[in-house]
This record gives sequence, structure tokens and C-alpha cells, in this order.
Amino acid sequence: MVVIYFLAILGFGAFFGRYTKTTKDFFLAGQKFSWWLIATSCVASLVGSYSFVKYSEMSFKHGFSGTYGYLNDWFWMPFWILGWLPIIYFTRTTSVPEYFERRFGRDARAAATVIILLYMIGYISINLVTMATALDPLLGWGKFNLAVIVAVICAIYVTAGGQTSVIMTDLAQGFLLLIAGVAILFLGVAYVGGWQSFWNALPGSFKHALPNFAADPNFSTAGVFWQDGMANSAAFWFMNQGIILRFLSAKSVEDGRKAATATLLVLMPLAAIAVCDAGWIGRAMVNLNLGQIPADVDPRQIFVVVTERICRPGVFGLVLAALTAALMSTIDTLINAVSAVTVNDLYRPYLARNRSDRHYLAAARWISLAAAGLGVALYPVFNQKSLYVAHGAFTAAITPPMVVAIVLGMAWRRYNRWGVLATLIGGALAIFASFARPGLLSPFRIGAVGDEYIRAYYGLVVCLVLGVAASLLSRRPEPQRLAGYVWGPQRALMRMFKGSEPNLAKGEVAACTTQLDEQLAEGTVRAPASAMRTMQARPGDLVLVSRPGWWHGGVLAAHARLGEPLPDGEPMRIPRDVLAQLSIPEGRTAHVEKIF
Amino acid sequence: MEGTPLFTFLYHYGLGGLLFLAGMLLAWRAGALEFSTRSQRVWVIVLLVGLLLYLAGHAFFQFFT
Repeated sequence: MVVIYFLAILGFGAFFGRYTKTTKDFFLAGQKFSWWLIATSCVASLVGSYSFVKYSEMSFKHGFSGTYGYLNDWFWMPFWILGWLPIIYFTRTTSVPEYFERRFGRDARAAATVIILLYMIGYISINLVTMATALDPLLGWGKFNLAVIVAVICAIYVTAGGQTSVIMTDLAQGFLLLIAGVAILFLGVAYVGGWQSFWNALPGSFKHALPNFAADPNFSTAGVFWQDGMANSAAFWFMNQGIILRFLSAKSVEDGRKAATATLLVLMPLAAIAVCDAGWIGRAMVNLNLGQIPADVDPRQIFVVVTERICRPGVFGLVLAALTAALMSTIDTLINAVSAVTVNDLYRPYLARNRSDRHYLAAARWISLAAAGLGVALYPVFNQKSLYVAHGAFTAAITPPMVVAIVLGMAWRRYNRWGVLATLIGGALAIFASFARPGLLSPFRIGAVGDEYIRAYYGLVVCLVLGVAASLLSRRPEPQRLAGYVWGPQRALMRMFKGSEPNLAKGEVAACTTQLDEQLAEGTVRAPASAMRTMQARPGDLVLVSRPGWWHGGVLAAHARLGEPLPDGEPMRIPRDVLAQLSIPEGRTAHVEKIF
Repeated sequence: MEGTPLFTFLYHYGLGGLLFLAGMLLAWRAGALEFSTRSQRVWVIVLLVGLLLYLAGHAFFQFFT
């Protein structure tokens, strides 16, 4: 089953390579995807290879509050939905370092590029290590062999299709994850004798949504709130390059917002249940003396123990495939993200300026292969506990500075170059210092909460203070650094993106027959006047031309700009580059939707 | 009171709610919330409804199970 799964994903991902012709396609998938496709693929990326094992363990020990880490992101959404997404989308910013250069200057970009690349390359290796550790006991293929197999498969399809392949394979893997998780829940509930029996087998405190306040050093509301809810959730939405690229692949800001909303309100809760339910079932089985699970079973093994008992061989294969899906969907996102940062923030500005897009696309593909290769090469290094811990410390040290720098940069006009350097460098040094001198954390301690959680609280406060103080003590930023890069009216951002006044009149999708026009400029279409009236559109407006049908989610679509209207009854004139992306012959009907 | 389910709930939604409120207020002050457009009004409602859904879900399991 796992071998079939590997081959299917490889073929599926490589198939979408045919739609990748430019660097915009490779990194942003042409910015044409529908919200539902982005949301479902996003779920697969956020469920890591360790999630099933880790969250089952936490849920076995702590109950329903094991989901807490998955369900505490919403507080950041005003900043993200109303601020960060429109800023990066409309200013055509493709990475955090690029944003830093435009907002603060070249040195801020260099600092951010180094930090993000170190973090992501290490993270590829760590994901390979955790995947191999989780899967090897089940498959027996050897840890390093598993790491190589998965890295090679991901590298092949990411290199072929870039972001489009990542999104399409993650879509399939997202469904697989959720189906496997739901299957475990229903099979488990049936195993323990039905819903009533399952519910009654769990003690009352086990059903609380939030863990103890600050009594447990390793899992408490106060600790998880600061480390996961504040630092890591913000890092996921604002700093994670893979997630940034994913949402920039949406056909519009509105679709990006819908995707984030669907992810957080529907799919994240489902994913939380999917990764936690083996722990709940395990607890019910122990309490009911079912399945011969001893009360002192190692919680780290509970996922495997429960799934082995409740799943028949075929379903167990599905669970193994879901575990693998969780890993591959995280690694492919990271490989594409490393390639994007390396090409856009290192190769293009410093190593090979003013080359053709074709050249940068080739470079992006080579870098994708190299990123996967480096991840495997570093496997033995990160397989040692000391380096694994060191990367954890590095992540803890860089997350608060990056998060504070992005949020202040976006939300506070007074924040400047000195402020961001103080935040990034001073903040990271202060956090590293707290490893050597844990006494620095003392003013921030809450009950028995462990240092790794309190360090996030300390880091966020120190970075905020450093950034604000350094900005106030130095000159105001130049006005040209602010336009479009700090919170402001969305209409101004749309004007910047479009190059003229946005047309916000609400129209309908128009259906037009197509006619190839070799004379038209690339990316321009001419629609009949009746279609323009249906869309409430004017010449110069941005539109999405797509093949009819919701099922392709935007894969068979292209952005274009409207030219002068044609007389009623004429077919829509369409250039070759747009027609090619729709994959329809001339004369067939296409849908046209005004963006603004 | 510290350590009770109510205190834990108030800590989470008190501090988190402050962040949420700060985000809404900053967006409004910066002009990023344009109530003149229907789409923006819808997004304000979606944000508030999302917060209420999480709050209601957490409250149910925290206090009524």
C-alpha cells in the first residue's frame, strides 16, 4: 500500500510539471488557485510527520486539551487577514527577506535571508529524521533508506512542477490525512462499544478544552499560549515561507482570506481530531480494559499500539500512508520555500543579476534538488540528539525576533531600520543568553511552566522592547519605505497592484466562446461588450480566464487584463499564452471573472 | 481561583482577546478597515464570528462536559 502510495504521489506531482513555465508558476503557481484548493493543501503542510505520534501522546495523557496547540491561531487573524496578506499580495512580495529590504533596507534582508535559510534547511533534515523514526518501526525499511526514498520522491515532483505540484499533491495528502484520522476515530469508537461507551470511559477533566493553567511544566495553558499560540502561530502565518507562497498562489486576496478562514474554522479542527483521536481511544481502551493495553503503556507508542489493534491490514496501510503523507507534504513545501528564498533573495540580487526568467527557473529547479540533497546529507548530523536540540534552540531564538519584526513592520509606521536590526540581532542574542543564564527568565515565570515555553514569552517581550526603543531613539523611516508596506487603505494597495483605479463594482462571471488572436499582447484579452456588462468590467480591469468547471480549482486558468470591448456576439479574443494555460482548443467556451 | 477551568479560560481569551482587539483597532486606525465596501464589512463579521465560534467551542468543553 505504501509503495503504491509513493508511486501515485510521484506520478501525480510530476504530471503537474506541464503547467510550470515561469518562475511565477514555479513559486506562486501562477496565482490562480481557488480558496478550497489552497485550504485543503494547507492542512497537509501544517500536519507534520511527528503530529500523529506527538499529539496522540499528548491526548492520551491530557485528553481533549491535546488539541489546544491546533486551535489557538485565530487571535492573529485581524493582523493576517486585514494586514499581512493584502500587503504581500498587492506589493508582489514573495518572501519575508524581500519585504524586509523594501521596508527597512538591504542589511535587514541579508539578516533575514540567513536566518530563514538556516532554519528551513535544518527543518528539512529534522522532518526526515522524525519521519524515519516514526515509520521505520512500522515498515522496517531502515531509517536512512526511508529518508532517502522520501527526499528523492519529493525532489522529483517539486523540481518538475514547483508550487503547482506541491499544492496538488498536498491536496491529495490533505484528504488522505483527514480520511485516515476520521477512520481511526470511527473504528476506535466501534472497538470500545459505541459513542456512549467511549464518552463514559473518559473522566470529566479529560474532556476540558484547555489544559491545566501552569501546574505541569511540559503542558499547560500558560506555557502553550505563549510558545504556540503567540510565537509559533504567528511564525506559521507570517514567517513560514511555504505558507506565504501557498496563500500568494490564490487567485485573489479574497480567495486567500477565504482559504485561511476555511483552514482555521473547519479544517484545523478536523485535523486536530485526526491527529489526537488515537490518544483518546487509547485512554478509553485502557479504562475499559480492552485490547490488552497496560495502564503504564509508553504514551509515545500509543498511536501505533491503538492503530494496530483497531485497524484491519488494509486500513492500517491507509494509516501508514497518512503518516507518510504528513511528512511528504511538509518536506515538499520546505523544498519549494528554500528554492524561493535562495533564488529571490540570494541568487537573483547577489549572484546572477539581470538574467532571463528561463535562467532563474532552471536555477530554481537545481536549487530544489540541492535542498533535498542537503536535507539528506545533513540527516546523520541532525540524527544526533545534541544537534537536534541545538536546532530547537535556534528555532526558539529566531522565532520571536522574526515575528515581532514582521508585525511591527506591518503595523507601526515609526518602526525603522535600527528597530528591526535591534529586534533581529539583539532579540536573538538575548534569547541565546537565556540558555546560558536561565535566571534571565525569572521575571517571566508562571507557576511551574517549563523554560522552553517561558522563553517564548521572554523573547517576545524583549524583542518588542528592543524594537520600540531603538526605533524611538533613531530617525523616522523614509516615507518611500512605508507606501504599501505598512497597514493602510486596501484601495491604495489595489491601485498599486493594478496600476490604475480598482473597479469594485460587483459583477457576474461571463461565459464567452474563444478565438485565438496572435496580434494581442501577452496576457491581454478582448471580450464582447455584453460580457463586459455582465462582469461590470471596464478596459484595463484584471480578470481571471478559466476553463468552465469548479473541479480544477484554478489549475486551468490564467490572469489577464481586459482590452477594448468587442461588438456583441463576437467571440472573446484570446492570446496564445492564455489559451495554453486553459488547455482548451480555440472555439470552446471559457469563463471570465473580474478580479478588480 | 488560579488553576480553575474558569481562570484558565479567562487567561486564554483575556490575553488572546486583547491581541485580537488590538489587531482590529490598529486596522481601523490605519484605514485598512473600509466600512464603505461590503466585502470589508463581511470580513469584520467573519473575524468576530470566528472568535465567537472558538470561544463557544472551548467554553462548551471547558465547562459543560
